[in-house]
Amino acid sequence: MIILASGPVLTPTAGYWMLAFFSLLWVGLGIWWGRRAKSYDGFAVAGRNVGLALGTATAVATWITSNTVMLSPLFALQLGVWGALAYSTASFGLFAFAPMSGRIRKLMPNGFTAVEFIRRRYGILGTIPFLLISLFYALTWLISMAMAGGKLLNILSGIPYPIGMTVVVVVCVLYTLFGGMYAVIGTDFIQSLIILVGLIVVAVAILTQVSIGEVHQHLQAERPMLLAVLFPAALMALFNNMLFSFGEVFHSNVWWSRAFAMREGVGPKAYALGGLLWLPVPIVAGFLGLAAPALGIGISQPDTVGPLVAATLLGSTGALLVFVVIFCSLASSIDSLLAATSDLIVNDMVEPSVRKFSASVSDRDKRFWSSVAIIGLGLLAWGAALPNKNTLAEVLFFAGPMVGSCIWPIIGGLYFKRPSPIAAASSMVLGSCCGLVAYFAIGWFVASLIGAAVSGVTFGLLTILVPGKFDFADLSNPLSNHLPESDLNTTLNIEQ
Amino acid sequence: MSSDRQATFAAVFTVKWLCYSVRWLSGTTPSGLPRITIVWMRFLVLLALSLSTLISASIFQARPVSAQGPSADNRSSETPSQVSDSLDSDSQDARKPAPLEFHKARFNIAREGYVSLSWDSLDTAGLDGAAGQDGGAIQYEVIDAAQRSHYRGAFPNAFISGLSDGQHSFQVIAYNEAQQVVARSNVPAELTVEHWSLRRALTLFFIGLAVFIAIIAVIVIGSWTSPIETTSTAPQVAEKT
Repeated sequence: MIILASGPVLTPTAGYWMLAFFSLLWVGLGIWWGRRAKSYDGFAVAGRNVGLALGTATAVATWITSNTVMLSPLFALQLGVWGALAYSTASFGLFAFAPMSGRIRKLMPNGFTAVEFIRRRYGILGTIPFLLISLFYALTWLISMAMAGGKLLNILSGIPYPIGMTVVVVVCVLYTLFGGMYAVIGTDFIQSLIILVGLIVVAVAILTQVSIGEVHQHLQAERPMLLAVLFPAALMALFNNMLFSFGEVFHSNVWWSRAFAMREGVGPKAYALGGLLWLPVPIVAGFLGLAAPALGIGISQPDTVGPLVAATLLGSTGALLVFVVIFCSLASSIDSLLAATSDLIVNDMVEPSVRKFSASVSDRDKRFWSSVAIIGLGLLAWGAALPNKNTLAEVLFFAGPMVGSCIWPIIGGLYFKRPSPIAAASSMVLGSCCGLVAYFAIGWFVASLIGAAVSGVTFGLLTILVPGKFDFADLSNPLSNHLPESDLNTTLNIEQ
Repeated sequence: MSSDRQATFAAVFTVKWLCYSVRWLSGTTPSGLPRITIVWMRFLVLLALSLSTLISASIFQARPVSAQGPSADNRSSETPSQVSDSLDSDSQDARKPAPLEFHKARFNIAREGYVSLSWDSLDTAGLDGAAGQDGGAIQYEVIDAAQRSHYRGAFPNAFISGLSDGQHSFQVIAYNEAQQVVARSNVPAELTVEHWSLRRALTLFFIGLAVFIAIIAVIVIGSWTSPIETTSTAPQVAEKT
């Protein structure tokens, strides 16, 4: 039977009820958990005592975003089986970050952000490009999540885009505001359970209704390149996507803040487990995309085919499940972005500026600035997402070469003393530029690869030609983060 | 019970159960077992219960649901060429199909083998009854030169992918509820697919592999050769590079 996807599969009434229900749940939990955030440490990094279960859950929930359910079917439809596999290589970012998270936790036991690491490690020269890249990536990710939220809720239940998008953003802002990292990680735990159970049910139900042989036959007849082993664009995209994920995870404060929040020794296991749990998700979602043509479902917008296929095939309960899974995946990523980006703004922009005029900064001040940052980020995301311009979501792909260029300064700076600020800054700038040129000249599927490759060569050469000699003790020294102005000038002069 | 009430009931029940589960998961540890063991045991039980409940619900509920659009059990068994032949004969209810126009009919060379086609949607009121007596919904079908169907749906856009090297030509046909052709494109959308050279693709593949191996090597070697030293208590200024 051919099923035509011509409209929402859930009534708006049901959609509004579910939205209201889960919104109240997340905000309520945020208020409840927020009582534990008595200090800035508690608010920003959950008291640095998160265990394995919560740590794994937050890694999984944060990495399962709307992109996972929207872009992996798109990859599969554009690039075939290799496309779905290419998307799943994003789990390698978590695998590779696992040992790094342990080292970060030990080297910076009182740290808060990735930018703080770069500032201590490379000084102002490395901080400027890194901060710009971090903010650009965080804001575009946040805006794309908000847009995806409105779009998906509209497609699944007919809730108008402005309403769905506004509710998603407001709910995430509220519970992050009340509960900080405690609320973020706590809700991530519940959201990850819902997401994983939901995906298992969807996968089982789809496989009972769709024959893999039939899908293969249909693809072979009508879309043969999707099954090709030597599909050129897919071969280029495989490592590109992996390196994009390396750059995203290595540089983003979303992951560094979790590394700081986890108890010592927990980070490596949590990230490794999280990667393992995440890995099959894009493969399942990608399969939905490939199954759509075989089911006779016309594909108009490939980025929405995954949720639509699942919801259409599973009936009312299935549609509800897909709705809830998507809402959870959006909320789990948006809250992480809000919390991590507000930490970055407070710790690396506001506090250093205020310290020039004031000797001490209290926890209360930092909590206040965090609140202002979270609300400000929410408003910015809402305002940018409201017009629903698709081009804004595509801007996120520009971040690929930029974050790819950050890989080498991070891992080189974390493990070796020789890399200097010049090597770090040059590699980020050159890698970003070359990657962006490749983006426009060739395509999105090589930009991160070129960015990372150029960055790596630059970083390696300059580390040999202009070596430094860094003392890792500076990373944990509380005084070196806030040097008096005279010492700061001395430091800058020496580095130059 | 209406479907909305069912949904509300299910949601309330699920949330109550989730709240209880969260409290139960983080409850006190019975003597003799490590806390982490208890938490994981409870997690697995919870997962198993959730899975069994939802699978039961989905098996009971899972049935194909056609969205608000009509299901196509009665999809025309005629091929488009037969349909167009039938147009040539002057049946009493057939009207001359209105022209459909692609927004873009000529494309640059497609290197990845996919294309998005779009066209103006038909206003059924403007078809002077050609949509059928009940003025029902329009369904579009995109076919290629070999009359193979690449898209069938209610939206006036189609994403077509997995095309191999060569010239491809597409037409769009609009059907009413009675499966009569009410419109078709006069000017086909034409596309040349020329995939990236395998040499370039494999070169970039191996560059990516090399970068990946280098990153892993740096992490592994760094972990082995750069032990974490004890923290120095005296403030230090960064040395000259």
